[in-house]
Amino acid sequence: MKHGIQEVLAVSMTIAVLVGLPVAIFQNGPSNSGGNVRVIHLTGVMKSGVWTDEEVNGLNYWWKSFKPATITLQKGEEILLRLTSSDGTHSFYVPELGIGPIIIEAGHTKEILLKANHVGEFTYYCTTVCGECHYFMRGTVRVVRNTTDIVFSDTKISSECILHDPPENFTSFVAKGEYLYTYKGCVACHGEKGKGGVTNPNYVNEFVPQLDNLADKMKIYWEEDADTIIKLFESNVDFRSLEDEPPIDNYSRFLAQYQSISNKILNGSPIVQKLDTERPEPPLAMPAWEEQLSKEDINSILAYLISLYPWDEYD
Amino acid sequence: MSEFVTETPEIEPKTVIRKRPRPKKEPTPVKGFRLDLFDWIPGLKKFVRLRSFQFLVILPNLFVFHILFIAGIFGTPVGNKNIMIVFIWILWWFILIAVMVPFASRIWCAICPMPFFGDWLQRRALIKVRSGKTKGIKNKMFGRNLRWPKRFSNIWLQNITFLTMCTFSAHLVTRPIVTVGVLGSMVLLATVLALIYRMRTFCNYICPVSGFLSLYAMTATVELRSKDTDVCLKCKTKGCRTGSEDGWACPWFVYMGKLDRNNYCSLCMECMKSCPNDNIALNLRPFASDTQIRGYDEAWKGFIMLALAMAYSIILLGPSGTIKDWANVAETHAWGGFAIYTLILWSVALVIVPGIFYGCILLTRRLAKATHIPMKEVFLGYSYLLVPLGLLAWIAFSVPLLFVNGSYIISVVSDPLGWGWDIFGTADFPWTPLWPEYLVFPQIALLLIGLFYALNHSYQIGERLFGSSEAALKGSIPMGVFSVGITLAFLKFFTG
Repeated sequence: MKHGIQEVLAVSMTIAVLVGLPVAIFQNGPSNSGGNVRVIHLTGVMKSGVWTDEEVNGLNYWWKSFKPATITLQKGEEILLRLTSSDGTHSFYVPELGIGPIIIEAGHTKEILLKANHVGEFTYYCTTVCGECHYFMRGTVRVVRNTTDIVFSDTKISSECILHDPPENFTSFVAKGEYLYTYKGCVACHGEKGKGGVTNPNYVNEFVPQLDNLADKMKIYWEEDADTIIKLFESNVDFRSLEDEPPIDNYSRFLAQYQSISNKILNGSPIVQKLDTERPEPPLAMPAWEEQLSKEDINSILAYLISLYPWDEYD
Repeated sequence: MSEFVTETPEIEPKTVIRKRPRPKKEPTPVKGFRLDLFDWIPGLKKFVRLRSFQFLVILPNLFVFHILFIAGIFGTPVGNKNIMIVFIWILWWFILIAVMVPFASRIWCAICPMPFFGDWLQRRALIKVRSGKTKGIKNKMFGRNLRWPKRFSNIWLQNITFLTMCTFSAHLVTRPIVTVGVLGSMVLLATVLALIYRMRTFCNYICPVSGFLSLYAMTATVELRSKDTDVCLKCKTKGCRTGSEDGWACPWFVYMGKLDRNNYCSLCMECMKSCPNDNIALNLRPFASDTQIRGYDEAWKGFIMLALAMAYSIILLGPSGTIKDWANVAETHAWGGFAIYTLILWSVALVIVPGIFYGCILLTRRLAKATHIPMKEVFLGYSYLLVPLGLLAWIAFSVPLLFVNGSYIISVVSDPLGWGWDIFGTADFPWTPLWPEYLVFPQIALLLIGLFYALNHSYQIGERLFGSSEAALKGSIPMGVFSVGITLAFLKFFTG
């Protein structure tokens, strides 16, 4: 048999390629090369609406639902945050810690050193509208005195973004409004069932407005009037062109409020008044929905929010 | 016992029909200049004759492919930041279609790592040759070495696999994992088939890439051929086809004495080692020298390629968002639209374009007053026009892919997996389209070159088929209209 040595060499080279190459690659993997500081690798995932510390790769990206990362560090500890985007353009913003907004484009990586000097829970946000789950894209930075002496509550920052095709038929405008409120992401800022409670750091009113009292804001004072208005929504009337005023109290005031609120949903409210002009921009602002919601969609959301009003408490 | 006795049937006298012996196919006479590159490039002949030649050219590719697979699975899902997508669908594709095929024939098949493991298992050797006997071959081969079924011994399966693959191209060219799945399946299938069937069955009959390489390699400006076919005919060993102690039998079952087209020669150069007469040349030759399509499978490959070039021009380069959404079903979930898209794509490729072509052939026969010549002969003869038309359209289509998106190559070489590496300091190289506003000019030029070759060959094919200049000229009219129509359609797609 000729070429014996060449054969052995060829087999060795093949094995070197097949085995050596992956070993070399994974030894230089992205996870833990940060020198002396602890590295936390966060990946922005548009489809799940999260910054996650789970591994995101070409294989699992398409089927896995990723969870938002909770970053925990001790007071005074310095960590290296390595931020990558696995899909669209995201941003990372922790206003209370003076970080960002840092914009990270798809496939790019940015690193920031984070040193927290105050104990507490701070919310991080994505402030670049990155996809359908953008409004859910936030999480918590926990700064503890040490790992044992402080136990934080398991605060739920926002609902989970679950994308699926909408039902073909809704039983009512209220049902459709509830669906849109949840899946379009209104819930992420205005809270479950419009109860609010979501902090907007350095916003003059501290919290994002609650919406379960929308009926009150729209000058609807009676449950019967609320039902009438929801029925009018469902019959797709144009309130401005009604010849006969509907039998509800304060119709003209309701109409003014309806138009004002509808306009706010359509056009958004990009400027949020600061509590302290020296401190960073509040991260949450009402976006414009003109391109994404029809008039019927907006009326459905309003119908849902009106239906949330706790009439019984005021009887 | 009587019930067991049967009457002997009367034997009716039968007319014995003897089949007319099929005329031996003689190689097509060579036209145009030939220049043996082995004589002109010092050391080339010595290099390809090395036993390690094939291993040496495949190994670097195996290395790159391995990185691509790792990147596809473990790297970023962002297509333009993952070397798998950028290298395969921008760099490799452009080099393959615009450089390798027209200038180096099937050189890709010589360096392709996909059949590497199958070959290894079949030969149990990477460098050395095993003498012995295996079903008519003078090499010892391992595995079952069965014959591939005759009914599939054509490129129809390749046509189908390619069309299927292209139907899902919107996912293939954007999602690294899909490309991993497709290429991985090809490696696996090539390996499994090598254990069951003889030689490179996968490459010969199934590989979706091989099909269009075989067709477009006809245009290549190089060819591997016998220097003197008489020497081959007198050769007793036929080592090129059956192997010898110096070289493996041709993995494509090619006998050099009759090789007159590039279609099924993968340039693996085993014949250079096994030929006992030093009778093989690597010729430089004029573009588009092989002009004979020899089966409907090859003709339909031409139709499919033409239709796909049109479809991609509309989907990838065109403004229609709806069609893009239909094609990109995994993200849009527009299954109804995807079904329509698939139906249109397959109908255009398999029925509509061939139907229009058939209509032109009917007219050609009538105008040339050649209805006595079998339809098949005329159809296949003229179907060669699809080769220069299709290849140049594909090159024209691929130009913007490289020039607009080529800058991604610069960034992924520094960070092939999108892990934040910066090997060469170019990881953050921005997307920089090169002269996008001027790309239409080379595209137009390429289309016109394709048209020129189509028209020129249309006349030559006519002469060959009908035997007179007048008939050739008349017959060329419908084919010219077809070729001009196709070129105008592409011009419309590219210029908007």
